[in-house]
Amino acid sequence: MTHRTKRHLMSALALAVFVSVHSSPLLAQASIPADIRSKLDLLTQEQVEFLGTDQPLRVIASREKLYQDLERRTPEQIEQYVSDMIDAVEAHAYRPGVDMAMIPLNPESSRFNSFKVVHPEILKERLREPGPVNVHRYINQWAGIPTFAGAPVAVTPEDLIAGNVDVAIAGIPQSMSSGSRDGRNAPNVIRAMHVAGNLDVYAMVDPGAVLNIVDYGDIAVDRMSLERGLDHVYDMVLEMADTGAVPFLIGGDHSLMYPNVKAVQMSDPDQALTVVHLGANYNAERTRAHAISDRDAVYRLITEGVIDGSDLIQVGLRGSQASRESFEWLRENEVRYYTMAAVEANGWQEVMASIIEQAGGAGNPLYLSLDVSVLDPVEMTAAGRAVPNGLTIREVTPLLRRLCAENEVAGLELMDFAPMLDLSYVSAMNANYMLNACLTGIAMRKQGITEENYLDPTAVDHGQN
Amino acid sequence: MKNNSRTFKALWLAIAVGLGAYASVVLAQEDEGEEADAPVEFPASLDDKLAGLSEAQLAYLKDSSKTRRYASTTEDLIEALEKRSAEQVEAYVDAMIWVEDQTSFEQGRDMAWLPLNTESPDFNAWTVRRPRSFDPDREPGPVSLPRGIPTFAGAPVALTPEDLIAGEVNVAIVGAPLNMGSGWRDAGYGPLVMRTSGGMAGNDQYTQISPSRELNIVDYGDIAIDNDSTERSMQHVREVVREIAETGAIPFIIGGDHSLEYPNVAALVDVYGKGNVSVIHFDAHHDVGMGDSPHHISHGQPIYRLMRDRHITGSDYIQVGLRSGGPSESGYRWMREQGFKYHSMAEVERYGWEYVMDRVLDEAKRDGRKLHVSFDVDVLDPSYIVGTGTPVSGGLTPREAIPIVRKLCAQQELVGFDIVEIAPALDPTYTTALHSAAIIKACLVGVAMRKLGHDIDYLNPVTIDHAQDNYHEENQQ
Repeated sequence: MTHRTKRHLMSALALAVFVSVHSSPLLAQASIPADIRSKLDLLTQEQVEFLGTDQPLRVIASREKLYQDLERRTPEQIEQYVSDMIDAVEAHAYRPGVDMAMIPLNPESSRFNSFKVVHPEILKERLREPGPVNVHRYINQWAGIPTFAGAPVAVTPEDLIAGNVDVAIAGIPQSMSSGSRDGRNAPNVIRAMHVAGNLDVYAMVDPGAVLNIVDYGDIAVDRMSLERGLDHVYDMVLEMADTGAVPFLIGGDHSLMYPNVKAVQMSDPDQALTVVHLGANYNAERTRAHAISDRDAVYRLITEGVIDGSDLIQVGLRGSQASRESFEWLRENEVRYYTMAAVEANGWQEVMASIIEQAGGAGNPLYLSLDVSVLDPVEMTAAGRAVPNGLTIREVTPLLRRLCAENEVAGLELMDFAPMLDLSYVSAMNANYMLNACLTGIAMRKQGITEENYLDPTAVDHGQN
Repeated sequence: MKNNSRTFKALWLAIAVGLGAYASVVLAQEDEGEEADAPVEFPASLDDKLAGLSEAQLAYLKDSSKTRRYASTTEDLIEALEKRSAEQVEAYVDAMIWVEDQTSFEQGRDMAWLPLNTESPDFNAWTVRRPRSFDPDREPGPVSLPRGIPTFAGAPVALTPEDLIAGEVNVAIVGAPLNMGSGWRDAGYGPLVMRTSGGMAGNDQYTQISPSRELNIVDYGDIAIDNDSTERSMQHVREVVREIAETGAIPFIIGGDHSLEYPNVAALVDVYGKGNVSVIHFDAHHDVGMGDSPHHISHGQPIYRLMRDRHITGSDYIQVGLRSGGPSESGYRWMREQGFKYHSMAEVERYGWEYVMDRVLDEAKRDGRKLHVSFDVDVLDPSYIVGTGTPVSGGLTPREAIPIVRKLCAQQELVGFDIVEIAPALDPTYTTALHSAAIIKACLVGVAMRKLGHDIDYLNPVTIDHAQDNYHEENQQ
């Protein structure tokens, strides 16, 4: 069932378009109340049957409202109403010969692919030995040239190998999909905040000291097309993961989850990943006109067999994107989801314990897909698709620290951060602290601290009595 | 899989693109003076290093038009070769060839199309209109929404062409919340903030004209947008703008990003015919694009697309306020050849605003055609318009922009107006919305002035003089 081939992403998606033919509409007939049925004499048999299917509910909010509408209309008005309704439902679908089936690009362009052509080292004016480049002047540099976690810079896989790099952090400044559009500025704003890679007082571990971290620069995207950027993102992330470094990917919106997860999975195709997806939105819509967006990345990953639904854990769901049918689909695919309703019912500590148990259950390496919208907007104003009633930073950072300490981490992404939406520093700071929580976990593990819920004894007690 | 060829059968589209490609060739910018340079002569000291290269590799290395982006002069190139080993020299040439190969389109490797999922039952869900029979019967005509519901200019709402006709509507203001054409930032919320901020159509003290009294204005709602595709959005915007213009109402489109200039102008040409519409393009950027983008539409190239699809020619265009990094000198030369009448901020620096404004008004008048005004708010200085996606320093002030917009809209028949690139999330204050509303109002006042028979320089005599003395008569200018 799981097919993990190195086939390129866009051709995979184009194919998926043809195999994901939507299940035909439910033909089960609802029984229309007799008093309404008596007003349907002017309708054809097909029209009456149409009213009994689920099709009217694509244009009228509920069956109850449909009956209300029918009740207050004369038979003549009903005839018009139902005829219009059928037209409106039919108008939803693609019209061959009328609608564009695909969006043409300009192959004549002399710079068709220029956005993603990597600068070969040999062409650079000055040659250098491979390895991370330190861009700081001082031993104890504060601020200076902004890099992720204040880390040295690497730009090639050879740099990562020569530097024995544990974690390579790369930006993917992509600004599309459905949220507010400032993902383009996210990597640089997170770099400029420079509070990741620092001592974590809870564990008394300094990931900047323990780990070899680098800033791997940005991965280029086409600002006018998600589709055109996917293969390059995939290639670059695969290249990073193949060196043995853990890719930390700073988006960009959540559509990038598709190439990111696929690349990390493909770097070790026989070892299943467990994906822990934190965010307000479930991102598994399946009926869209577009091949990829933030709203359906999860759907692509599961239906394409890149990951199994049973290896996906979703945390913090609360946006209106997911309907009852969505959750049923998640259940059918054995996805472990933890909504904010579950947190309301059971409390965060219990939910967190269950997440950690599920995450470690299969013994797979973890991929953390961190949509900043998991946090409450008060602590993450700059979420591209913010939803109230989120988790607090005091709830999320222990979860991240523990997941990353108690499991092997294969990759992490931080998605949908739109800095222009926050005039303060708070969102950028919290984004960095979430990164640091996982970096700390990875550093703890490297130091051999893998016991459950470890906190440094000196930090948790002043010891005066 | 079985239907893999099916989507490739959209023949009409292929034809359209084919025509477009042909037009691109016709319009292609010629790099004048681009003579092939003589092959570079390398010193004998490099002979050993170059000996291992194939003929093709050596020819490439001697072609300075190829190597200049890595080593800008022959001296730099020689230096680069000198410090590389023979092996590295070969890798150096191969890398250049690789970059060139990677950069251009290659059939089979690169997608010439972005696929859509035509199997989606919701393929067109975003454009499906609510049938009239779903709601209680009402007579066609604008619907007044009392008690504070925010609408453009506080105007009543119209939803169909029948509403526009029944209401004898002069101006239909419509939102187009497109925020994809820039690839980033947030023009999508422009229409909402322009509805909630007001200031668009009350009394104008300069003329003592209230546009909402003189004109029948409506809020025509928003045009549906597919914010995952500028291309698909444009098709629908063009339909709706056309349906407004066909009723005789003037569409005022509140963007959204500047990609909208394409569907807006194309729709007006659909209605009024080729060669009958001039466009005044206020912008810090030229937005011509010149045809070398991998994409056929974005907010940087609506004008090229209009030219390529033969809706307009460069000579239909007057541009005001240009000052961004482009175009280059050769770009400007190409625009000259195409007949553009452009007015950069450098021209304003040299001749002063009054002079340039009069020149623009005179050019528009001499064209004498129906007019579309496309106003990118970034033509104003960023201190007035903080909330815009691609601001550029050194722009016009409202005291410069308001009079020219008022006069243009009064001078000749206005058939369309758009204001684009309002990105509210970038401005925590009210100022971007305030100045944008003032520009819209200036145009509405102009349209009302023309209706009332005023000339373009009209200012209300009572407003401009307290009349406690005969100062103006005694001090004739």
